Amino acid sequence: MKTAAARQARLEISIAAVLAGIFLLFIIGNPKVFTRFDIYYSFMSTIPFFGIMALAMTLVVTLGEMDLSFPSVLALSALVFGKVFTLTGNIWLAALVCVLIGLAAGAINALLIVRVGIPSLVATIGTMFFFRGMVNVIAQGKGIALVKAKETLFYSLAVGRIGGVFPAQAAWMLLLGVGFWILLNRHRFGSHILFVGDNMESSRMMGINVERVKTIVFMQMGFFAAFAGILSTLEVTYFWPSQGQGYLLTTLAAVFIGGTSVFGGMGTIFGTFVGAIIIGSLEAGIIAIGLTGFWIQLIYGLIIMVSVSIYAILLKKKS
Amino acid sequence: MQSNDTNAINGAGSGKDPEIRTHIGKWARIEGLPIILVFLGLIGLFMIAAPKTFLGYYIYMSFLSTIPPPLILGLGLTLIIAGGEIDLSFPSIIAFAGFVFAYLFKNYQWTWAAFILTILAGIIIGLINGLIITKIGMPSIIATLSTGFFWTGLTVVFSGGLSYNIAELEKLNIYEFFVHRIGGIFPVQSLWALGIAVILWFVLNRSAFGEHILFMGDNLQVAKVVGINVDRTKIVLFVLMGALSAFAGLLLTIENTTFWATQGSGFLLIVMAAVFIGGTSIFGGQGIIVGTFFGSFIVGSIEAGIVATGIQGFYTRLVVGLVLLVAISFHLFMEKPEKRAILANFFKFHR
Amino acid sequence: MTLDRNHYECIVRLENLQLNYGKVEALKNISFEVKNNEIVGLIGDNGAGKSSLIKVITGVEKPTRGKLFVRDKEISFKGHSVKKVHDLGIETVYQTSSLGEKQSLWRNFFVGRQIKNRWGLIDVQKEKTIAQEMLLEKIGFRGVGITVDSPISELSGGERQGVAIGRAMYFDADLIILDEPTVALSLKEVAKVLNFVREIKDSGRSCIYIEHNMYHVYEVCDRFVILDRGEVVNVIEKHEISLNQLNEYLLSLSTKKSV
Repeated sequence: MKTAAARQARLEISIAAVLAGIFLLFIIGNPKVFTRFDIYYSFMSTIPFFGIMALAMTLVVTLGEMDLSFPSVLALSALVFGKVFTLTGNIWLAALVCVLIGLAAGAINALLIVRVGIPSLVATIGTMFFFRGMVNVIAQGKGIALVKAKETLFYSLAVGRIGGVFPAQAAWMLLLGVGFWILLNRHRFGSHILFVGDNMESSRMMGINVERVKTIVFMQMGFFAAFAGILSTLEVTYFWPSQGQGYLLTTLAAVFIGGTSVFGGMGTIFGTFVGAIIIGSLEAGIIAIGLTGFWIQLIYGLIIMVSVSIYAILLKKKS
Repeated sequence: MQSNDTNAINGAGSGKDPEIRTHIGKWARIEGLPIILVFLGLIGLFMIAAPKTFLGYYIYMSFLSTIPPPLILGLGLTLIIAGGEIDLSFPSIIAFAGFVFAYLFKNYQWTWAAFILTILAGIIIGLINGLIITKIGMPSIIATLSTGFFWTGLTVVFSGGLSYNIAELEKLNIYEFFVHRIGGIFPVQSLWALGIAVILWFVLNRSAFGEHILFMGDNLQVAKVVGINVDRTKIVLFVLMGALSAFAGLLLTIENTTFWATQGSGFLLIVMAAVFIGGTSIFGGQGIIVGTFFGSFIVGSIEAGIVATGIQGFYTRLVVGLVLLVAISFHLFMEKPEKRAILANFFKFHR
Repeated sequence: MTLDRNHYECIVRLENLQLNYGKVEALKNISFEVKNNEIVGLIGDNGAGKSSLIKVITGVEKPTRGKLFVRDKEISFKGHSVKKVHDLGIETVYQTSSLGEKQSLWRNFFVGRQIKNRWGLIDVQKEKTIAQEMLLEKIGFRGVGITVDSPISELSGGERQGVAIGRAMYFDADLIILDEPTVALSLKEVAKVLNFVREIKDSGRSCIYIEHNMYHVYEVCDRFVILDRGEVVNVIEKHEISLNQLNEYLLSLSTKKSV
């Protein structure tokens, strides 16, 4: 146990170092922008949308599974959120129905994966299409404006500015980050996730209800996709049918950069948190230091390759 | 010989009536038969629901020009998945290859030289993928996710985000070679795709290299102990995928006589869906070329079919998702001998 | 393939072999040999180094230091691979990882050394025919529903060993390495394996037999090499020790450890 913990600590220090290195480059490259609050304000308003999903995704990957449907779940639940709010004017009801849809979507995924036995990568490709299809059919290609939501308390709680300055969604991400960390590292359920991800059969023999663990993990993924949907929709007070699509690869990238193993059995919430910040800040940071926005994808690719290579080498050294 | 083989398909030692087994067995031996039937059924459905469109030849010619690029990608991906790996970088190779060709043509009027360099670019990208996966030991999902970002990014940077119009290509031989309409209507790229499908079938099922891929995907440890050079097999596999992706990108760019920086980005999940509908398992160790072939046609024809039937195009993704989930459930069902026996009972022949 | 089949003293000999996995010393300065027409029982607890030893001989692992001699001629570890080892006339039957589960029997038989037709593709007909012969004649499959096309997953434990052993026999090895071949086999199947080992001896070949079950090993071996924590702790000829004495000795070794 000592070695595994040490290895994880080493990973987490490396990713933190990468983050520090990147920000050092930013500050050197454009001190005017990066020593002022504005850019960080921008980070804090945009990163949480996929950052929160990345945190939830960490549990899925630690389990040894994959979920590619979350962008569509985000869109579907955001659509329902918009519709219910427009129909009833009650934002709390809209939010409730929205997260219920997220949970239901996660439950459908779990059903296909656990009961029918479809491998999660394939099943969630299928549901990704299916849920997006539902969005297309219901929305009929049109968006939904939710300007009225701005007046509500809910809006302030979700995406308001704390003290007029600090974006609430960042507070949510921080809170959830701590919560997920405690769950994975200090709670019994977290250790179940780790064991099942490591060796499903042994876990079953140890008495862990593997089906229940998987179902809960996929349902929470759906829940937080819905939550991210609420936040991202409220931030711009608008829903659009292709919402969420851009988050697929960035969310996965955040998890992988963070160091969580794609084979399951090991997960680092801290790593994902830092990974999300890296991915999210690259975009703004690259433009701020003078490279055109076109460089963003390229640098994403480089950063992922470099950090994962570091992990691969760190892990190889041990064996 | 024949009855022995068919016995095997229907479950060893199940002790069932040899009559059924011979009859079912004969059909079960045809690779990808269920998917072929689904495809024919789907077309039949479209013919009934939208006779004006589906009883004429035009729609089919349209398919034969749009489906080959994702089809070729799917065939390559089938080998990759059979080998126990995955490649998420192919949409980026489409973009990058398209850029290389369009750029070289637009600025230097190169055609065949551009073609060779385009395929070469795909080979190099595939080689880099293979090296990262074997030498650094990075799982292919992460490796190809990152290289995908990288090559898309590079394409965007080089092209400045602009699209290139290369309509002048139409007058040249190379255009005719790859996208000519035989008899004015039959798109020749479908023949290219067919040729590649046949070749890849032989590679996977009849060559030593293909057998090495299958064993590698089945069990890496076993592959090593039976003397397969796993690293070399993986590298060649990804190089092959790179070359095929570049070729698909080339067909796409030439057919449209345009290059745009985000070309190919929509293919990622569509191509994967086609492969899984075709019956290839994500776990590796087997690859159904015929299944991918018809799976690509199924996925490629759904949108047209839906629209022609008068249903809104919005339903396309929903139907694709449903088809994928049903198809994969069916494949899972058929994998279990007990369940196959149940099906066999439906076809029982009574003396 | 010109192998000088008869004029050598040791089919395989390891000299001062060291194998380190990082800091862990899996094999510590081991010297080990198998003579011409000898059955050597390789005994030791889990983690003693038996599998590592085999992996070095068969080219799956490269040692940190040491020399390998096959038929008294030194073999460089540089180009040493499983393929080379097969060419040298050494075959291995592993406990579990010899065969590809989803692949058919005939593919498993020839993988890595496929018979090719004139276009460079696999001669499927030929491979199937030969595999069929081996199945029926050598291994004696009268199996219900098992044919050359059956995937390995449909075979029982004993049938799988039959295929792996048949494969080793077909390729006419001078040295056959058996890695715990009787695990999870029925008594009848165990008897078959032991008979096979006797056949190896009778036909003038050699065998390295790794086994936990002393009752099996003792019967068929000429000599016992005992490994403990990466080192050879004892080499005993069969005539020097009885089964009971051997069992007692091994027990004393394992209890000594826990001190």
